[in-house]
Amino acid sequence: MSQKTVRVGIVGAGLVTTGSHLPALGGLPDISIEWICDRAAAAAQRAGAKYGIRDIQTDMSACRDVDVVLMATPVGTRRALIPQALERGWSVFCEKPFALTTSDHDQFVALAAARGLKLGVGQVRRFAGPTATARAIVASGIFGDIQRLSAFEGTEVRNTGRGADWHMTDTSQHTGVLLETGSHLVDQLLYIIDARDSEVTEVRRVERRSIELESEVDAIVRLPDGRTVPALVGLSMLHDMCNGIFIEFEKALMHVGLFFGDKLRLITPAGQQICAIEQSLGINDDAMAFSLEWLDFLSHVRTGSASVVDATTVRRTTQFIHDAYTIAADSGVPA
Amino acid sequence: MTATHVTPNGKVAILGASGLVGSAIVRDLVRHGIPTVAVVRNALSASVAEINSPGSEVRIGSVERDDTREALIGDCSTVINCALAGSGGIPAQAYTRNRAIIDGIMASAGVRRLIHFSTVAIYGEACVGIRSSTKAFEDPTPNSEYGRSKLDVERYALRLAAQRGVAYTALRLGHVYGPSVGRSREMLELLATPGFALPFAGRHPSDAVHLDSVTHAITRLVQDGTGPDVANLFEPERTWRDVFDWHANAADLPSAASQSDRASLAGQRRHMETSVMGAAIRWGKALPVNDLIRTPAVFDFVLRNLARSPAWLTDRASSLNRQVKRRSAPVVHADGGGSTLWPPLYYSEGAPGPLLPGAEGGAPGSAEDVRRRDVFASWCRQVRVPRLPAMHGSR
Repeated sequence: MSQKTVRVGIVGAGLVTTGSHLPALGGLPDISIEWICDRAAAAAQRAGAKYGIRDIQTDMSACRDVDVVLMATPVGTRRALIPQALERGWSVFCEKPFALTTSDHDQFVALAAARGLKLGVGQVRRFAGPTATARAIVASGIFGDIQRLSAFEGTEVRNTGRGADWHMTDTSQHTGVLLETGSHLVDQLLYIIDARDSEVTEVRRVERRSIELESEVDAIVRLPDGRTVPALVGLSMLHDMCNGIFIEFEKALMHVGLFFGDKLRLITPAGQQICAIEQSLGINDDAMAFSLEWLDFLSHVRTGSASVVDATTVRRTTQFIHDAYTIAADSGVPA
Repeated sequence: MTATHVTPNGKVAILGASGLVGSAIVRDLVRHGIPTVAVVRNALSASVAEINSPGSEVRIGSVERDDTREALIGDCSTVINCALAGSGGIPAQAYTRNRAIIDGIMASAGVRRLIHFSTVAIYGEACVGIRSSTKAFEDPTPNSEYGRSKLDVERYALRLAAQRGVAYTALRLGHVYGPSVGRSREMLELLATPGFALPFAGRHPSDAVHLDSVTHAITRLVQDGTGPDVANLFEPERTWRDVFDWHANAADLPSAASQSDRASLAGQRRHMETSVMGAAIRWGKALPVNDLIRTPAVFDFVLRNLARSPAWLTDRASSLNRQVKRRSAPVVHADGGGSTLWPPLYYSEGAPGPLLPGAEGGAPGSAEDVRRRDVFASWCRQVRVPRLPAMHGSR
């Protein structure tokens, strides 16, 4: 049965839009991409030509009304753009990181709720097989209570393939490894264990040229049963790390691979694999994950069904990262 | 082959200084007291270079740009080109972008010497039966788009250098291994993969080179001021068995099993397959379309044609490929023959031609080899042993 066509607008014509979102949207039924908007007209034109979008804009306020807008601009621009989109009556699907602060986050969510609009966040790794399956294992309690948690994602940055206009080098856009990469990693950790809240206790950072290159965060995380456990989160663009999410239960140590196609395993404390766990949930293809993410959000918009990536479920991630930056600033760590 | 001589005065610029090889070269040149300029393309790469390669002068920009070139390399008499411009999804750009880098270097008045990194991939993804062939060294026939584009740029640089009177050395770099190197990660994965067996029992030359051997040879090349026009850069006489055992030993993994010669020859033939029709017939028997594209012969056929196609057509083809990928079923085997096909380089019988001197350091069993193995073992622990917070925070 055909559904009402959802009109979609695209804000931001960067790599995640052209490489992931537009290919995903192009394969979905009952949507039409009405326009693409980017301050860099050439980027918008290139994306438009590639995906057959004729209406090219450089100012969102001049764009025609749509039902849903993809917000894929650097996070520093969203304080202005998300309220503007919501005030136009558009539901917003926003790339991660969603908001710089918890107050921004709450303001966006409240504004959307007041207008009966939907807000989603591109936490696409929630659909990854290891993450989705690990969440089910944790919820089952099969390995006993969680004792300790850690999450690491670190690789020495090498050939970036990017020039001087890369948004990661624009310090006015509040970029940094904890915000950019951590918004995935922290979200995966807190999503898997269904954390209720967290308290950041200490932050260690390395930065250069005002770019945050490495961060390590100590925190206490509250679980659904009310217990709290220690957590350690590390991110680096300087060093290779033992990457993954590590959940120490009473009876086992589980390693959750971060990416699509990665393994979910039980390991020894020395990191040796005991066994791999079959991934019964999620998917192992990032291109398919972007499609699934959009199907989930568009269903949320059309029917009000629960969404895996509803912005309200991402608040604990925003809070963790916001608190970490606040503590880093308060403790004199260069911010 | 002619030898060229350049007195090493002035600074040495490294393009692609944030890359794996580039950053290691910067560190080694600095360690030897050679004035070094690390050229990177953005502030983030500069930040990483400043921390991980201290002592060099880090400059941000692109030599392709007329307005920034002289500020980047104008005071450098030697340029080491480790930069590799990506194709951006448009194969033809692997040629144009990398030629543009050469144009930029040659447009700088101060440059007297260019050391350019090429690759052994220009001999083919797997070298079979060409090790003693002079012709294969002098007139290689790559069977991959990557190899073709690298050979094109190597020759382009040679022509321009000759016109400009710039001393030129092209180095056909072998398979680099060491801490943090993708090839080493792959070998560790293979060693931990049930059923992995080393083709030809690993007895063929590997054409592999430890990262420290690369930097050692380059520093010597810079200090000598003399170099060949073209040479290979890998460790002599090191077989795949040597290299895999080195990794297994350092990472405390069991040694790789040996694949029979019969199975190895069958795998080698599959990799050397150049018949698109043969691949299509095999695909027709069992496999989804995704695997057809990934069959070596078809993949190369597609890329070869895309490299000569206008950008709009390449874009359309890329979009189509993405859509096909989304619709096709998950793939289990890539060869369609029911057995696993290991990466082509492990079936290789060794590249032809002379080696650049200086990459011999770290001969098996030497003190230097032991040091390198200890460093690698330490890196293995760093990436394999999980860290957990102290228990005291639990409430």
